[in-house]
Amino acid sequence: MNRRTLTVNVGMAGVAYCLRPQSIRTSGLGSCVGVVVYTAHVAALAHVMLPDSAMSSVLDVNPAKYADTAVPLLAETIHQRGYHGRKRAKIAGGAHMFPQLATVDPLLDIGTRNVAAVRRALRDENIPIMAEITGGHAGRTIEFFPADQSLSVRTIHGGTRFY
Amino acid sequence: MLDLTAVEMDQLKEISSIGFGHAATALSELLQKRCKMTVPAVDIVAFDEVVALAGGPENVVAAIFLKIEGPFRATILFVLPAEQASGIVRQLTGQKSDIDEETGLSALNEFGNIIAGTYVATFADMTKLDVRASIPASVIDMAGAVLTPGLLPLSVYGDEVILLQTDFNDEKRLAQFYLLPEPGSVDVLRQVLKGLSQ
Repeated sequence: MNRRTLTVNVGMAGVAYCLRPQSIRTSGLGSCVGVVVYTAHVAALAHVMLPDSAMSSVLDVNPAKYADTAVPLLAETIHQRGYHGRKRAKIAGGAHMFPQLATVDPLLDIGTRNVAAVRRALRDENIPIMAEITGGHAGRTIEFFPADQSLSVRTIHGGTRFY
Repeated sequence: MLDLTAVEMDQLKEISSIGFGHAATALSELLQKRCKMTVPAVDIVAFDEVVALAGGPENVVAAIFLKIEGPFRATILFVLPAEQASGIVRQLTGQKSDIDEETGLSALNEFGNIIAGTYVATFADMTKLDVRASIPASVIDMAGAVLTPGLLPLSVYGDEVILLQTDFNDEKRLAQFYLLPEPGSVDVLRQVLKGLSQ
């Protein structure tokens, strides 16, 4: 990690962490869910695309892509850095971008299923959700600031709000 | 997974050139203005590249999304720069309609219906496959947010998509027309293309 980098960017199906005073962000979340797990000093973020790793037909599963494997990976990422404090989570995303097409392809409402799977996985890890900005029909860009544990959520019509 | 040969890609380009040619004619009649639509390139790209080609995850784009249904099943995603989509909507509505308004999106749907409907009709005609286009859904939002959900149902099977770059009226920027065959449909496509070459 470059010390001069103030913001760590996480791509689709990616996972990364940051330390104060850095921030960590992921952009263009639609049905995907951005999951931030943090302690007082460190924050890890995953850009989750699908609810269940059992959906994959390929053997080489990317754990950050699926809710059930991404959440344990986030916890492990924090432990590996030597942080064992109380973990909390903030999540955003899981929008339904094409509500008109729900009848054509139910898979298109993957957002709702992603959110449910992320909640379940966090509960299994005993990580409480402090803020949840999910659902709706708009894309979101999120950024988490470990310094004050706030999460900014930007949409193209709603501007930026902090949670 | 999408292991189409150079010959098969050329055939697909041929079908697409004719399909978009017909679409441009239909659009010309609707707009009362001569429209041209060419297909300079057909390519197979990775899912990861799709969002980058649309200008990055946060870039605002117009996306028209629909399905090809029947013996050949596929998803069509048509991606345009937001400003280009606004221009088309203004021409369709004959006013300075904001693209975010309901009329703007429905005009964009109509535009998508014409392009994709004509394309699919040409595809059906040339391949003799009884396929049809579903109703379209349009959305204007961040590229990452609108393109990913369209690709997701297929991302569990593989990570590639057929890209037909289309050029409207010789403009500098190309629009992207993505064709994503469902897993069982790749073989159908290959068989059909084989039949065409004989």
